[in-house]
Amino acid sequence: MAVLHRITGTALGLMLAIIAFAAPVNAQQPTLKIDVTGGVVEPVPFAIPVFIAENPASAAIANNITRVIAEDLLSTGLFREIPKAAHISGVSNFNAPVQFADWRAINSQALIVGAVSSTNGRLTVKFRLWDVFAQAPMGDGVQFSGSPENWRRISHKVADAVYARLTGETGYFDSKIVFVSETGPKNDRRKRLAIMDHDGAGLAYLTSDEHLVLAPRFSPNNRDILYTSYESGVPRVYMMNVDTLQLRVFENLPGMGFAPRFSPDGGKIVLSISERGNTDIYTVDLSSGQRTRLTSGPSIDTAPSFSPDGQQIVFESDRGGSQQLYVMSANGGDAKRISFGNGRYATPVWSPRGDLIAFTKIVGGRFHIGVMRVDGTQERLLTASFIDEAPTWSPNGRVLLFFRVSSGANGAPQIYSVDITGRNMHMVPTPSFASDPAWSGLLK
Amino acid sequence: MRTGVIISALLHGVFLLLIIVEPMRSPPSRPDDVIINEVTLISAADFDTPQSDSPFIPDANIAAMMQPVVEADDATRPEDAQAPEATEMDITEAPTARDTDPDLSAVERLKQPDVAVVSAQPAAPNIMPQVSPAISMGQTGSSLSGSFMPSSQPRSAPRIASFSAPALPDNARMSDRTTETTTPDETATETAEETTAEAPPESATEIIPEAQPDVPPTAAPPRAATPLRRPSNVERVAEAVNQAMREAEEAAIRELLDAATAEAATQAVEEPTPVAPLSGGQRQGIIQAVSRNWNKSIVIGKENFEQLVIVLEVSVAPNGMIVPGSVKPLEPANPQGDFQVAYDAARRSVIRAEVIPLPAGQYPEGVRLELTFDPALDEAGFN
Repeated sequence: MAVLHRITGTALGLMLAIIAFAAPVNAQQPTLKIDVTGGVVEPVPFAIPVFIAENPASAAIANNITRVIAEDLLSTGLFREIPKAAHISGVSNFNAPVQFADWRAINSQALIVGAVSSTNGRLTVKFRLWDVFAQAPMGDGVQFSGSPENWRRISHKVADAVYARLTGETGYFDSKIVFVSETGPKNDRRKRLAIMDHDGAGLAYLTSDEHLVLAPRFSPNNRDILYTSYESGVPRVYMMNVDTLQLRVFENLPGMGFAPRFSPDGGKIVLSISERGNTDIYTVDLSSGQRTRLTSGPSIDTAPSFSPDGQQIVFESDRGGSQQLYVMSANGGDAKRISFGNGRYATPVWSPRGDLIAFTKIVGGRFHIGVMRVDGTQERLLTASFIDEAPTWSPNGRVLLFFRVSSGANGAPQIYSVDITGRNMHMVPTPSFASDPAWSGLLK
Repeated sequence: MRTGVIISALLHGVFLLLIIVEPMRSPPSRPDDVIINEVTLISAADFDTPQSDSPFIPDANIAAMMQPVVEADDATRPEDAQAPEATEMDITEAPTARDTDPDLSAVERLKQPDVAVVSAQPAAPNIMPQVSPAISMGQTGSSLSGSFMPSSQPRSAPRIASFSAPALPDNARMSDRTTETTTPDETATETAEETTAEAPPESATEIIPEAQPDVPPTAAPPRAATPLRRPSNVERVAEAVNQAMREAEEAAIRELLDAATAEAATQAVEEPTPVAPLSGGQRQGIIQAVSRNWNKSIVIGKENFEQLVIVLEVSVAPNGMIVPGSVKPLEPANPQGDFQVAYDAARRSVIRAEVIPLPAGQYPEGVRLELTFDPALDEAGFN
């Protein structure tokens, strides 16, 4: 009986404990279901204290690297830097715990902490990204190292990594832009190819201004550039290796070649050839030189652009009586019209994401840069101006470059950038007038 | 059976005892401490004395100070100083001579940039463990051996088939919005089906009691078999009997404990407490508290952003404060890729709100909010 009492007592204690534990659970909170509407569209605030110089040799460059990273992020229009004067905490040690309350107090949603060191001729930059409100790191820390003269590329790579973590998309800062640099008065404009970083730094010229050049385009591996030149007196398509500056001329093409672009695999080019007053679209195999005609008929078919999977081509044509956009198989055949709005459509370019087609639209005497779904639906005009023309996609399909010509007798072109939401349009700095931009892919 | 009665009696006894004893154990409430302040009395004359002193007036010519001298200076009138000069801006260059040949020396720099970008993990071993996948720089001639951690590898820009939308995660929730428009068919005629009100057919014409299995009239337990002979070791047998009793008691107690645990668990997963409805204004207040912090700028530029609908839950204390760490994703339950970015923005909006304006006194136990964030609803500027 004593045993029974002992067991019963133990059981009683256990039951009481269970009842006591279960009591708060029973007091369950009621549930409210609410649909959140609205929201705001504004840059996400971030803080980036000057990267810590871990040795005296890196002190001078640490601030420059920090500024390039910040400027890259700011240029997207998606982010806003909290000025240094507002910082409550400083960061003096890369591995020190983050004072989240101090960064949250100034509404910094992301914090970039980095350090720079330079030893034995090698520059090393490391960073960590923190979600201030979640009080947690966003991914692991990463470090890059390279020769000190490449500090800008290292900075761009850090910015790309930060951008990727904050947006879930690939960055585009470590990329190049090739464009037509223009100088001189309007009636005697000199044009030559130029190449620069996406932010305008590192400008270099690829050709002289003796011959008119048009419409440069990067190859998928970013090492070759197609363009049209009047060097021989008639427009011909050239391919230049950016490393060696060696040229390949497509001499055996009949008539005049325009608007060349690479296929996504880089194995062939698509272009329009004007012969005996008729302009049609052709592909040329780069290894065999074999030419394939994709369109025929009396209409002007031009400005072809491959889809990212290489299966289709979008181009402009006046076959229906006005300049419109059409999509056809990469092997030619029937084309389907996709633009049905008012006005004329030109220079279509397929997004690297594959979801959109950018174009130039001329309606009511004004030019627009716009985007539409690949089936022609959901057309949105992003810009409006006297002349806006020749869109080109960023490597991640989020941003467009184009050139805008100012009106008037002295009107001149400049390169602009705009987000596909139509926000954050700004001029890309170039040392001279600039037109026909083409964005490279992300550098390796 | 007897054991159960004993346990039940004991439980009731303990509860009654606790009810009786608990008030006696509580310490008597202490009267509030009396705070005594010492005061002194002064006379009215003493009180007036400090206020009757004459104010100190410096020896100055106040009249002269109140009339500042205004110097006329036509040359520095602000309107002149601020008047802008109108000049024509001409952005076109007007060179007098032809441009010189380009300086192609800079091109050389593009050939082989001496880049050997080597990535390695920073010193912190726990946060940044070392990995070293090699990445070739390709034709740049540079070598870049990066050590991007798996989580730091950005998602590649999706390359999708031209006319097909990307597949959604299994747990993705589609927007409820429909944009399809319908036009009435003018030729159609409205017809109403003639129905006759009648009682539903009865399932049976008579009440039939629930079928019972055949049970023998005598369900008494079988009688225990009589031992064949008396055990030789009585003590050992008694111990064995006690052991059997203990095991039986333990089994009974285990059953009771299991039943109590199951009951507690059942109560924990019961349907939520019925909730008092919010008024339109109260609901709008909650929406605004969150939505003004919901930054959609990153989300709305994404491919098919209208599909990035997020549902999350958060616990709110009775005073409206967000319970720390209570924000959790519901749909998708494990957001990845673009859904992760959308969830981060939604979660951030809730955390930044800090206080949810709950109706005073309406939720004494707090409330659990299920918030649905649909970036396509009331989207601004993406038309």
